[in-house]
Amino acid sequence: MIPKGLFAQIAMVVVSIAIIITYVEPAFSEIGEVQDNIAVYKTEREKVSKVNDQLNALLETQKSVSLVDQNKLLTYMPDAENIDTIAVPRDLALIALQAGVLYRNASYVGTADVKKSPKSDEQSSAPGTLAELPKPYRFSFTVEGTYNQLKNLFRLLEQNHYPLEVTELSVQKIEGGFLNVDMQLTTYAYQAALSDNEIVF
Amino acid sequence: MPSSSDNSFIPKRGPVKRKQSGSSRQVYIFTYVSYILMFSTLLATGGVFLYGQYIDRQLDEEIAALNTEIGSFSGENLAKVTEFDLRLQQADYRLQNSVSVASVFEALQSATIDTVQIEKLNLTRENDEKFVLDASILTDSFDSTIFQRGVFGRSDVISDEVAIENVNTNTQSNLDTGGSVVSSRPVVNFSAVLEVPLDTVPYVPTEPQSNQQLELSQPVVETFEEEAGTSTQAENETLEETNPDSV
Repeated sequence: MIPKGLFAQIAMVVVSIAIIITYVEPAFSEIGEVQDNIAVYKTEREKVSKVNDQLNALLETQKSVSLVDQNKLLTYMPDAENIDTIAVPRDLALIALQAGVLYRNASYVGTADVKKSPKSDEQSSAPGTLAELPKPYRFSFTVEGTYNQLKNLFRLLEQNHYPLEVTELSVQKIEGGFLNVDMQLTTYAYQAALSDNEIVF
Repeated sequence: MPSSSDNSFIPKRGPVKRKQSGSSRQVYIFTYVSYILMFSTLLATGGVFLYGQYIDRQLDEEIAALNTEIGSFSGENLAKVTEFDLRLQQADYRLQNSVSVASVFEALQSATIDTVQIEKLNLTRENDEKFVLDASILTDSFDSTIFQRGVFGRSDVISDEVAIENVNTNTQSNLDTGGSVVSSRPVVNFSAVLEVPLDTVPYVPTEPQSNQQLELSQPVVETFEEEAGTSTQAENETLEETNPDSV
């Protein structure tokens, strides 16, 4: 005959096993998942924190650039709406006057296609894609003068506060030993690569 | 006859009693195990429950911290920094490719022999790689033409690929004031196509000389007044307003 106490003991073992199977084990699994999630959230938080720190550091670096230098940068690489099709010919007229050549004409021609040369791939500072290259704007410029005056003109164009690159040039002799120079100059405007909507965090 | 052991006053234990003693010992171990198992299970259950609560709170805290961190991220600042960086890159890109056309002229000048005269010159910039110069040249003989070709080829600035084309002979006449021919001489004209890699003529920034410094702000009004002489005060004010450093 089996004693009564044995039933109670067997019941305790069965209940214990049942509790372990139905609660403890699933709870352990759930805890494991939560711990994994915590680790993921922690990693992501660290990443976001790192990005924020980097952003703050970059912002500080940007703020450390003097206003004078920032204005120089804006002059050298202005926004497209700041390319003034009257101000550039006016500056060209002033440069011509300074160089001593006879100013004939200067006018806005239009925008040009953005082209990336193979050389730009080798330059570490070159923007990555075509959409990130500055937008060229063409101007025609015609002057007359002596050879030395023309060389002086080109030196002044090089020293300008914004790029005035000679893209095409035609020099012809005219009467009196003077030279007629017809050229196309290119200046550039900043081209934004991403709109605010495209910034994905 | 009873044996001497039957007379002993010490009670004898039978084999059944020994079996009973062994059985009760087995039940005691099982009881002990079952109690341990039961209490352990209860303890584990409580522990798991409490730890679960604790870990859930930790997850909530971590989510809240992540949201706070995301909230502190400023897209506006990122756009500002990105724009500044890209503008710098674009400016640097153009600066790296800025060249000196004056240097091209000086190189051409030093590579041109005395007996040669450049009648017409076309220059084209091909991307950021090279200048292509197409010059219409006049000289006195074929020997000068050959010599000039060699000088172009030896130039450090001009690329080795010198193309001399359309070599023609002609006669150049010098006329007096009345239009009659005073003298005539044979000439050779040809066109030369030269290439100048941009790397060879980089723009090297120099401090502008004091007498050559560009003064774009002050003389603009005076200059146009002097030349045109018709500028009104209102126009002057407009020019002064629009002048400083705008492109």
